[in-house]
Amino acid sequence: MQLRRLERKDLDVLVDWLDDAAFRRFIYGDDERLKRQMGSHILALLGGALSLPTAAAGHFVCDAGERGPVGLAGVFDLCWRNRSCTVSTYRSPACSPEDFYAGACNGILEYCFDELNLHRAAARVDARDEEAWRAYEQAGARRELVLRGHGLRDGQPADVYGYGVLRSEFDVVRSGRVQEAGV
Amino acid sequence: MITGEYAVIRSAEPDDAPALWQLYDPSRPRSFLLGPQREIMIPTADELREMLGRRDLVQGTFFAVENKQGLVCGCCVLRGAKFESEYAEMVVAFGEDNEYVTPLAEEVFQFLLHMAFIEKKLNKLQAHCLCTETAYRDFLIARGFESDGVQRDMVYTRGRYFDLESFTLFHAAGLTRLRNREVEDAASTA
Repeated sequence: MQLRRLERKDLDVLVDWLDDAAFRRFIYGDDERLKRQMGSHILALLGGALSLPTAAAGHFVCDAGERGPVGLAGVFDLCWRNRSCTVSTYRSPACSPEDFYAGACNGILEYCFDELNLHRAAARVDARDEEAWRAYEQAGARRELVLRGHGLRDGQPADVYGYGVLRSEFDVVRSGRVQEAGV
Repeated sequence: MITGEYAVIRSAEPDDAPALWQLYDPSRPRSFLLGPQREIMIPTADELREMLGRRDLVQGTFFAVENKQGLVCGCCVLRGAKFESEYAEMVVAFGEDNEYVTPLAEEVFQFLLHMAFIEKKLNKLQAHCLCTETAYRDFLIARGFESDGVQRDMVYTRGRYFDLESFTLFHAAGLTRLRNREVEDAASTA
């Protein structure tokens, strides 16, 4: 899986994903009242492409080659003083969790540490989304927070896990993976 | 404005800027100073005055705390209280750490509890403290807050990283504390 910038040709796929509540949450969190502004927001995402050195957030398309876009990965709350950010992913229903999360989570963390040169990345994951939080754990992230009843999912309070990974931890896990692959 | 036995709690005004600005001390890292991206924010006195003049930002969220001598000794804040998320972040900041163990601090806490759980009907209150804020942490634990965990190396300031601990107090526990307090007050009055 490759992470790349959003392009104009991705517009149709993004519009298709608008029907998915998980996609709307990825863009707007729990605030469903902002649905009507979503079209203009998506156009802004495409038009603005990615200018992370100056912005606090940016999005990538997770591209599975011949299958095309299978999700999005985002960097939010980028703080240069703390050298930290929050990352998040959205998986299209057409892509299986096994095919998506390992590539997307590793890809966005590699971008944070290798390209942005950050010290720390954090992620908030729905506790029910086991494939997602396991992928972060396999990438070296530690579960730092258990937020009970944090926000609503389908009208019900949902638990959220807060994960955090430091660059040194990510490097250790990555070098372990490289060694395993070499063996 | 709430006039209690030990404190006067009222919406902060632009004229409170000089007194409240004393709380924005860069040599003393505190969770109170963290902005939305968990970055230490130190406004100038003028910027603080301007912010306190914005009623849309301050009304119902940012309160100055006066002691009975009429001195502004701290502030309390209810950040991000939104219907859709059903929670808000509570901040109680005093100029001196020993204020956290006074009846004045308890009065401020009761005021925030009432606002969060009775007026705004929130599901829970959150609070954060840096690893160095032991007095504030003790204040939260003593009032029923439970730790959600510690975010490592969350804030960089003064040449080092600080961990940030998160706490939660749920609606039911908060209401119980409010009722217990009412019973105690009634008993002491009788």
